[in-house]
Amino acid sequence: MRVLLIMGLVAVLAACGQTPRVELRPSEPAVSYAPLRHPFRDRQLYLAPDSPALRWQNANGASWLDPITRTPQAVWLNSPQDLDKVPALVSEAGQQDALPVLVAYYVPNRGCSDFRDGAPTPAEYVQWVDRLITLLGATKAVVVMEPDAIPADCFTTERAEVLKAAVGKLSEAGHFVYLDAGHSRWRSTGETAERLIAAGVNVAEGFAVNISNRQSTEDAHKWGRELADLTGDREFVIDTSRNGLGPPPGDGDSWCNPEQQGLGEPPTTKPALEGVAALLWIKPPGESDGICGGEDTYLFSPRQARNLIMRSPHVPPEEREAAATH
Amino acid sequence: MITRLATVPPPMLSVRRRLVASAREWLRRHRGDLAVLLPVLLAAGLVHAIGMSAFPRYVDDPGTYLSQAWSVRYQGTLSPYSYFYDHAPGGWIQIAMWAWLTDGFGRYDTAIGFGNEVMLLAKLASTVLLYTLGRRLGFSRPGAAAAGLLFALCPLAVMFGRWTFLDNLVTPWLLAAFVLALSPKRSIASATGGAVCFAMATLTKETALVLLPAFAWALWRNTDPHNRAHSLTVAAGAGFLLMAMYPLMAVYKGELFEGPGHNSLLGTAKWQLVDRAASGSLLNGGSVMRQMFTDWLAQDPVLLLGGLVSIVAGFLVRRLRPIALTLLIGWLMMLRGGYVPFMYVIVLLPWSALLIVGAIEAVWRRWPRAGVALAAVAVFGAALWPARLYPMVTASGPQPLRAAEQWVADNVPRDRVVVAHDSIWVDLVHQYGFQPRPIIVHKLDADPAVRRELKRVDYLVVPNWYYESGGGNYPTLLEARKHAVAAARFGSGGDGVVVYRVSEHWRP
Repeated sequence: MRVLLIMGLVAVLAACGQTPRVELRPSEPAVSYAPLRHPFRDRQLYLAPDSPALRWQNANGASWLDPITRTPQAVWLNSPQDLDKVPALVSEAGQQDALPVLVAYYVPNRGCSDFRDGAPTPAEYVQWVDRLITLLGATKAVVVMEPDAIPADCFTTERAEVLKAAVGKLSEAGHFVYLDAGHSRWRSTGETAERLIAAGVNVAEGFAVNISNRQSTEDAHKWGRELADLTGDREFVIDTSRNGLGPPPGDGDSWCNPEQQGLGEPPTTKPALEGVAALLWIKPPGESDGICGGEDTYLFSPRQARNLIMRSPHVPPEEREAAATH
Repeated sequence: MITRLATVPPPMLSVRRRLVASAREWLRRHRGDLAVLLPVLLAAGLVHAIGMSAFPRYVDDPGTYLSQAWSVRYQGTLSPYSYFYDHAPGGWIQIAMWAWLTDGFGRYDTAIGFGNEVMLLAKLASTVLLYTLGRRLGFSRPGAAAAGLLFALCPLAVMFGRWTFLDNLVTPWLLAAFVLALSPKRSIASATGGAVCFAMATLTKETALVLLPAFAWALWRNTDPHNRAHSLTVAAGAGFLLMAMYPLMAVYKGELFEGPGHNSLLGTAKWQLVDRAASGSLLNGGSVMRQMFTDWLAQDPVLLLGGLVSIVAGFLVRRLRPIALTLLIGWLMMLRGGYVPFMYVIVLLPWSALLIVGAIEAVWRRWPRAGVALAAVAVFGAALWPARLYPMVTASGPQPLRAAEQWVADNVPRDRVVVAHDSIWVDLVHQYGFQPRPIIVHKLDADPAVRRELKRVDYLVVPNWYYESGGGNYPTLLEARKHAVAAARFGSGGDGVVVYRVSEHWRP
């Protein structure tokens, strides 16, 4: 009887004294971020000696286009053929002692339209990136990776893996990668951060905000600062090419060649904004957003260029006047 | 005269020796019962305790009650937030008393561990009382022991009995109330004791009040007609006075009636009874109630359905009628269509165990063969239990919330604002000293005072199902997550926990 009682008590006490074991470790290792290299510090931006706007300006003697053609802009690489212009760019940038800003825009399923555009397969995309690295050689470039690829609806873990592989290769080769993060009125910073991390932002220099969009620099900065806080304090660049008037009114298609738009702040490698590496003109101003707003092209449109100069608060009045009257 | 004198101990004996003598006498008289009861208790305790830290999963309520018990113990208030009469506070005051007597929150590294201990004690007390009540209902010793085992080993009872629910504290008070109401002495003292226990049950969780008719009937029937009026008046008076403390407290705080800018007992009671999302009737196939019932049956159909069938037999046997009424009321509550919480099943289990055994014994006495057959059916049904109990006693490894808590303790500075699930709140405050105190997740949007004070949120530590299913009730939580990134993940699915770090630039 007593033995039973004691045994019972011992067993019960042993059972309740048992402390839970904590073996469940975090299932994802904490992300470790590569040290920042600050590629824009003390560098000047590369100004392409040839561009659609420049060609049009020369053909038409349109000096009013100067606010656009004399401003450094990013060079977009959208296809295997586009890589053919890289060797010339490398030698020009060497002569200018300037930092080229390239945009890689060839990710598989680029437009979320059933793999109709972009690289046909992930393997071909990685080969394309390899070829870019080979062509750049010793010239270190800023590479803005894949506008819209991360915020797009067709973002998948497969896409994240492809991007991660490309970011890793470019970074390892000494280039400075900024992954496009979208803009302040698209996805939340939390969701974007998770996607950026999955796409390897930890080995990139950082991310790009507002590409081809028109959110104000202030909004872009506020959003980017929050995003940077969630991604190991990476630095970021803001596309100010067309945000001089802020976002156009209305929703839906209002983003496409709107009436209400103007050139934004000129590019600078010394922005007075915390966490921002540079203000850049990533989208070439004057290039049509597509077949909308009175345009029937994706190419350079003097009408768009004129509008951007005329309405910009960042262009001196006489240059605005010149654009308006010619 | 001479015989009475003989039973009185000689006045020369010391108090201590008299106590020893009467204890010996008590043991001698209850030898037989103890010999049967102790193995039952041992089995009940072992099955309940082994694996209780790993099973079942963490749910909301235990953490809520433990945080309120912590608040009673260390702050002298009924809740770390403003008390809003969600339940009568008796349950967590009892937990706080035990914590105060035994340094409960200090002995365990998790409050849930301490809650588990309290539930184990409640289970043991309930089993003893169930056995005693069985005997008072005329059960044989093996019969009373069988009732105890049915109650203690039923997978539903093990599962729901391990969670720190107020209902598990109500059970011993209710059983004690019936034990005293059915006292063979039929004294005023035992009737009063029964009424006081019943009042304690209602102060532990106010829902016990619906069983008042059954309890009153039991008390009425067992009082001696000669002093019935006297007994019942004293008992009812005492019980009423004790119960009245609850509304009196509300009156004292100026919170009995609804009014602007304060919580109120009647306002919350109206919410619980009328406004709260109804669970539907058990008879309605698509209702929440039916879904819960199906989930209960998946754990164990034997005790629940056996109890239901035995209600009929219970009403045919005079002694069992109040017990049958108790269980009948329990079942009727599920038909009414109002709000029924998922742990409601706890209320049904002890009475089912009693009625099943009572019914079998009654049949056995009249038709022994049929009785044997019924007992065999019950044993056959209970043979399903070991397979269900096995995962409950062999579960091991930490719960995702517990692991996340440890991660937060190891990695998060103490001055950050953490939004935490109820079940880890006490630990973050008591063991790890987070200051400002973490915010219990459901207070984030529900408590206006919390909303007013909220300046920032730095970490979110809640199970995934808060984002998946409960989203509509937690707009601030969902908004915070939009500005946050996963810092660590534990487990997966709805019970998995992601520790989110919210951007320091975001303001709620």
